[in-house]
Amino acid sequence: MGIDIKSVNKRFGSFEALRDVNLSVAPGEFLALLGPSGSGKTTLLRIIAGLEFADEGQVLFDGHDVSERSVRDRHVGFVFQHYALFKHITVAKNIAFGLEVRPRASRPSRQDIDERVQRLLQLVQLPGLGGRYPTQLSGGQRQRVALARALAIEPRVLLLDEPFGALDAKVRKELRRWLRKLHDEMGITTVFVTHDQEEALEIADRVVVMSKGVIEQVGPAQEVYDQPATPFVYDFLGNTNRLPASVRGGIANVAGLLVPAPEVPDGAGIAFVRPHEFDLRPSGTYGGIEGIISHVFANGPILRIEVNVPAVHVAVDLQVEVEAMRQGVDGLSLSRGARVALAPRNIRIFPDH
Amino acid sequence: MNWSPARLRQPSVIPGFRLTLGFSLAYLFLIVLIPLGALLLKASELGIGGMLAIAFDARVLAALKLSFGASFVAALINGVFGLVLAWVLVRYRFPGKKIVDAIVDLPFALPTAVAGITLATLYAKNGWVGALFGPQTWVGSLFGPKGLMIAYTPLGVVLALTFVGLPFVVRTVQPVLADFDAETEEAAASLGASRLSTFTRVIFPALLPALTTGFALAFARAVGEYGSVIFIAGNIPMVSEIAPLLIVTKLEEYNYAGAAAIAVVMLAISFVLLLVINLLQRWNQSRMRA
Repeated sequence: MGIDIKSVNKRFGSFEALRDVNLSVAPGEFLALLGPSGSGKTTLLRIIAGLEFADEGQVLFDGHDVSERSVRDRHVGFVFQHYALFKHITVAKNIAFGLEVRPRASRPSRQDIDERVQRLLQLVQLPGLGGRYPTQLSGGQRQRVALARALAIEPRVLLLDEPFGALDAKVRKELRRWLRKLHDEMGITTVFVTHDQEEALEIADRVVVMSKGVIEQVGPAQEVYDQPATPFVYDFLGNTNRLPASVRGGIANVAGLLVPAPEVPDGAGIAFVRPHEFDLRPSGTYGGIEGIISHVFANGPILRIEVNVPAVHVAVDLQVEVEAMRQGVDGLSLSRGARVALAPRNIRIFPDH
Repeated sequence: MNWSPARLRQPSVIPGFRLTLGFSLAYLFLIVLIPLGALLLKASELGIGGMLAIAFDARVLAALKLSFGASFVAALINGVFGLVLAWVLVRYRFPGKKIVDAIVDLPFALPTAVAGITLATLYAKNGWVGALFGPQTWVGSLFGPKGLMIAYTPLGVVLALTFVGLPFVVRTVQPVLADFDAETEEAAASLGASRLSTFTRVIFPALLPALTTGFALAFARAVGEYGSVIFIAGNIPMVSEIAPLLIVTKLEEYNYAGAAAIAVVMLAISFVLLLVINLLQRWNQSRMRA
């Protein structure tokens, strides 16, 4: 099922949670809403679910306006960060809940419900645990029960609010890959909220980056990472270096390096370079930023090198991080105090507000 | 392995197991067990046969029935309305909420005799409220040609017991309801549950342990209540006479053993009932977090 969000605004008192948000989710898509806390991502998800209502704007399911419909009638599967399982009933009863509360006319028979519960327990890889109570399960198992419970009603869309946020790192990684596989098998439109960029980039088809109630950028994970549209996205996604720049006539001066910046107005600017997008060259090489190595950290196959750049236009020294393959830096002296040139392979200049 | 007695204790940041346990036991003995033991001793003067004879005396039986029956009904009423009151106090904001919250505790603070006299005055045939249920009014005529008598009937007993038991259910349910996770309710709604089935299938079961505790406390309080009831009950033997009053009557007749015998019977019944409630609670809890 496709979802369209049209000019949605939402305020909580004087706090503007969402400002003119427009978004389309294609049928069968796996979409991540990514942003720091307070960015409005959870509010947007809850408005899609009908747990919250927009002050202005519409939510369309397959072209039909569902803005006024309550969560009961929207037929969505919702998974909460803290599972929200019913503690007083068994796992099987939890999963059957959505079927058992249906009016008699549309309720499946006892036998059908039992069969479906067994199938779902298989699906979430918890066969034989139907008789347990939620408190007897681990966090990862509980979240899979919550997912099975949401899927039991055969929802039109699956909405997950930081589903792995309360789990430890290892379980989180396993579970998100498993969720992606599950999605590929079932093909159900899925929207999930996360503040973990790694999680979003790894499993989502498209990533929506949000900040302060506004969508900053929407696109395939790789594209959002490689071509951030705004300084916020650059900063939020992955590690990045911020270097002061001054722009004049479409040319930016970044610590002595001249970079074309045709769309940036004259004045102060900020240059963004990711640590792995630097090449280390011998000092004096043309097209590099000169600096002195201050620290070298070995992290498995990656060397992280911090370089002090005496900036021309600012009075402070900057630390620039360089991630480079060990093999790639043979022949260069990488000891503290060595002079090197940093050659960016990819650099973006934004005006500094 | 060295199994010295010290190993049985869990090491703890704050020492003093021996001191606190010793104090607790001594305290329990002084305050609870010695008086109860003396009671048993006094009652045993009659022998088992004598005690049973008193317990099965028609007037005593009627009083016991009224005491436990009215207490049960009062605790049930408090269970229902205490839950509603706790719900309103936790879920909604309204002007004067703090005051309503404080009023709930008043039955704790008021001398029970004052409550009894006030209730008796209000609910007597010519009292403000009692008059509303008289034969002349349309409300009263609903209950037959004589209207509804509240004071000086078993109904009055229930009324007084409901009054004194009110805070228990509210105060036990309130914190549990306040801690109840809103997400759980939202989960039920997202699965298509109506408001009613969300309450009956999700919220109520979560409140049940606290509600049961509140019920048991209100019930126990009502069984032991004396001061407020005697003023409104009318104390007609076989009709509106409660067991505690019967004990006092025996005492006034210098029949100490007889008084003790009735007390022991009450004690035994209360003990069994509270034990059953606690076992039910334990069973219910173990299901949830084994």
